[in-house]
Amino acid sequence: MVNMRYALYLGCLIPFREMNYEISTRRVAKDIGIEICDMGDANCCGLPIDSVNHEMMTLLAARNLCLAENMELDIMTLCNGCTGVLMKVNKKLKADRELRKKVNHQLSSIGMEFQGKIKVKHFAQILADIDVDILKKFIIKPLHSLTIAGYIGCHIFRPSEFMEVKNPENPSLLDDLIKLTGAKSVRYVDEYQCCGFVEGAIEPQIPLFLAREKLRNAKKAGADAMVTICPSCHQVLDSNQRRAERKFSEIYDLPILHYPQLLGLAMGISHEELGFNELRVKPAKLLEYLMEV
Amino acid sequence: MEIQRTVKEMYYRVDPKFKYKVLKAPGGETFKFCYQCGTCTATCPVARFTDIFRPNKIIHLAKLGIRNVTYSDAVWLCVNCYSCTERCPQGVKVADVMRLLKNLAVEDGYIPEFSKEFMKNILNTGFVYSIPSSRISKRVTLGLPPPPQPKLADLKKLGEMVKISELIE
Ligand code: SF4
Ligand code: SF4
Repeated sequence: MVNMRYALYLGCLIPFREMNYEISTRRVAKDIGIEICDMGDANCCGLPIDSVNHEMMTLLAARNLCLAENMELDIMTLCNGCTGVLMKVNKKLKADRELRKKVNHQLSSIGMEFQGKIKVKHFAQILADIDVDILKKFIIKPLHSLTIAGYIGCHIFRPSEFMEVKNPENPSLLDDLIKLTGAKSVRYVDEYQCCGFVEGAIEPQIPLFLAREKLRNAKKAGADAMVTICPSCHQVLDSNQRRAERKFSEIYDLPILHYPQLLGLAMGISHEELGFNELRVKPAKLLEYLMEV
Repeated sequence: MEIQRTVKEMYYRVDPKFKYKVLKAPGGETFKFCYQCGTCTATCPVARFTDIFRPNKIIHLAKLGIRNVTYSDAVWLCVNCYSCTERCPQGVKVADVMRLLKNLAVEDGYIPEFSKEFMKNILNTGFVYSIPSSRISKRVTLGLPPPPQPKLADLKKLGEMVKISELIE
């Protein structure tokens, strides 16, 4: 057990549309020894309205940061978008005194103050920072027979200026985490290209094209399943997969797992407990296959 | 959105001071360094699947002061993935410039319906989507704790701070 405590920031998509991500994260975190405290008063991170008003986005993010400061806990995020926004605003407010003064003046209207006491980290980053040898002890059912295509998304490593990634052209974060489970991690064309989720509101066809490229390329590379660490990516690849199949008259049938679901399997947790039933593309074949080996 | 229509209307009004406005605003500082190499467009996932969106062209038009670029739907096609920012050889924060152009459009009263809806949802529920009650009861069935319930009065006050209602009316 690692003995950590985090304030869990869920965002908007996960608690209502990607509950299997939340279920599997809570389950896996419990076994590893990461205690999760819920942020009962959290609001939208602000990203979706950054394009409307940058200031309002900053205030929404700052309010969430203040809530965690009051809990005296670092934030654990699960969504790349939330991670990017909360991390950026947190860093900017810590570094820029003028901005901080202005934002604190605005926050005083709701009795809050940004103090710059906490950090924001994605669950994947938290795991990556734990000593591998400690994590390996939890892997009691290594998934040696599986080939996984990781899809890392965007905001967790771009812009690299803020996200502290050593090699932004080849971020190894998800790759390493997949290898931890014993599975083979394959590389494929376009693995770092955006899922296009936000485009859904404007030009719904574009995410389908983007999904098609990734699904095809991952299959070509021999992947049994894909793994994501962001609910938006998961929506495009899993929930939209049938739509893409219909549009292009192609069959992909590629299960898309949330990373904690994959990790959970390797930790010997049953798939029911990891929310596999909620996946759109049914991973039945994958699970059968795991039973056999 | 009728993207085709607005792209034609792009070539209308010229405002020579527009570039200064972009340069002064947070996020726009780097846009003057663009030398039109097209790397941003080459790496852009959206440009790959539509002819309408070319980030380098948008920057060029904005530099020339062709104000209408911000009223076009094209700029709203940017999904803010930062690939361009990451790869621009001139250090232009392209994604931030796109975001800023959208902000300026909103200030001028041009706001797409979906953005309006997002903002309204946040003020009314705390979340960007309206949440059907079936989802909340589903959480109970799945054994998950109750979802966050942000204090809406707080959000309303923050909205008043930046006069958000004027932008989404
Ligand atoms: S990559 Fe940079 S310099 Fe090249 S066209 Fe785009 S913004 Fe301009
Ligand atoms: S941030 Fe926007 S302009 Fe830049 S690559 Fe992504 S979609 Fe294209």
